[in-house]
Amino acid sequence: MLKIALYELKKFVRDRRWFLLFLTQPIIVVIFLGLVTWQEPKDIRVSLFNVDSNKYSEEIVQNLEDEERINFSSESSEKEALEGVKNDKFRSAVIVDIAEEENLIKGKIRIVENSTVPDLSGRVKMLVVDAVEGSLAGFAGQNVKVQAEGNLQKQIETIIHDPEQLKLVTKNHTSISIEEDSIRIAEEKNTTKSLKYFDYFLSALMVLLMIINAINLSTISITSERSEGTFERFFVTPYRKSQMIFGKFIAFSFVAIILSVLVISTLKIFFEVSLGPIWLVGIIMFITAETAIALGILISAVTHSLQESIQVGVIVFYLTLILTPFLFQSETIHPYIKNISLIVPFTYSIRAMREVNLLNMEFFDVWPNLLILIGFLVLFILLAINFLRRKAE
Amino acid sequence: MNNTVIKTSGLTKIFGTKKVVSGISFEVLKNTIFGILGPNGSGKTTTLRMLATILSPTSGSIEIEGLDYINNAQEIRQNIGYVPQKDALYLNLSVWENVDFFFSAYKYDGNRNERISETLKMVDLLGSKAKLVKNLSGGMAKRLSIACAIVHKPQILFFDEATMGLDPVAREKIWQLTFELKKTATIITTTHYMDEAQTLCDQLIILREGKIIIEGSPEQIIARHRAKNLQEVLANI
Repeated sequence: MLKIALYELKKFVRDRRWFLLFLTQPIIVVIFLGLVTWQEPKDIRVSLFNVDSNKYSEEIVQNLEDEERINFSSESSEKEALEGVKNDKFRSAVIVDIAEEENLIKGKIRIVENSTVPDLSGRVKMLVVDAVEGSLAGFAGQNVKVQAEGNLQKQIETIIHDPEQLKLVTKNHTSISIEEDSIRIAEEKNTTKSLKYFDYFLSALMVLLMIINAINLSTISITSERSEGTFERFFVTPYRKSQMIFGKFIAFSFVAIILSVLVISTLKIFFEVSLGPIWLVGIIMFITAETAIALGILISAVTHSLQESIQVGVIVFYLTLILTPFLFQSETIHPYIKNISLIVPFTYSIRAMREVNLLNMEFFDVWPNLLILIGFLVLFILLAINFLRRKAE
Repeated sequence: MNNTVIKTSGLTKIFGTKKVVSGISFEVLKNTIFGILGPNGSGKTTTLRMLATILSPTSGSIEIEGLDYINNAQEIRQNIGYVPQKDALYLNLSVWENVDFFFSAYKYDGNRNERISETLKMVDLLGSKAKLVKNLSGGMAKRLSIACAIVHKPQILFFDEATMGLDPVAREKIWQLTFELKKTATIITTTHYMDEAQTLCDQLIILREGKIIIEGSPEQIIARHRAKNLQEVLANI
């Protein structure tokens, strides 16, 4: 078995052009993704218009104008602010319409989105919430009695989902009152890390790179032997199916280690990214790659031709991309298939990687994810051994 | 003493609805060269692949050295060598590494490196042992393919069109090698070349549409058909 692994490895290394491409590809991807997410999105332009100028609304507007994470720009009219979104001058518009009437502050803040940038609105909403929070703290300092509809935290969540619901009142007429001088609103994150724009992509990218390369490596490993005829010769010998599977698996594992080291080194050398403990990140990457290799070998064992293997590999990759939290959130999935991401192994890779890189979690926090991955790995290997057709047909 | 190495009975192979080999029975004697001949699509390669444990028969039986094929395939594999039609070698491995790779599948009591050297010397490739397969000529690759099949000293060798595509000099070399191997092994070969079959084979069967239409030694067959050679026999049937 080790001999199979050794020679499998030699076959790769001796195809120098391919091997060089294979190793440089993740480095290039990491560098380019790092560069395209190099800056915080502070140059994104968002128009701002204050409908009713009063000290409260002005303070919210001022907070937004002082915001450094996005470029808020006050316009002279609501029409201009909205037109700017239509003609792509601005990516979004924030219309602050808060009035002060008889010791009562109420109104709404409209966020008009440019629908072509779906993920931006969330960011704008977050900054609006920040601005309002900052203002509330200021109002409290002026001894203004502030009351929120419902629990304040809940309201902030409401703002995020429906900014039109925002109301600030100074009359004591709702269920929860907040005492004078006691308003403290703090944005709390479940991490102590100061995260940069790139960090949000980083964990998924690391998992993605491992999956693409591992599947690329292993998906045609058996079908290519079938098409070259070596498979037939191999199985006229007393070699067992498990020896072939494990031999290839061990060889690819060495390549996976090299890949993990390359990706981590590139990230460390070129970018100041938020990584968890290197040894733990390395273990997650390695187990992810191993699981992907096992899946690739299974695909190669059950498919009949090179083209079929590649096609199934591509389908598996796309399904992984769609069903794990790479691009979409589980909340948007159709209820009938909501739990399908739970049977996609790489869901657990992304979870573990994000927890370690972004949330300061340690091995004892993420081990269940790793155990599930190892479970999938063992399952794929056993299925590959079982379904590999020794006989030609 | 029973000198039969391979015995088939009612050997049949059906792919889908197509009967490729149709109930053939024959015996192969020890240390002989046994030829399976026939036009394209006659079932000769399918028959050879069934004997070499690559394909399972749909029905019928195969006994190899007294062992039932179905229940003893792994044991049988220890004693057979197979030279496929395509060379089926690892192009990025060297001559030595290819032989070593396939050799490692077998139990062997002696010194493995010595045996590899001995085998490469036999096929005249010892001087090229460090060469990568992708740099070999067609004749050299074919000899290496044979080396991979004989390194473990098998009792039975299967050659599937072993000389196909080779120039006359390379073919001659393979023939010499085949005669050499016959001293220690039984060889079952398929071929398109009638001159080759006539020169090499002690016994042969000619298949058409999966059935044996002629069998015997080349001399017997030529005499029976009052022909000059096997080529003429095949042309007249």
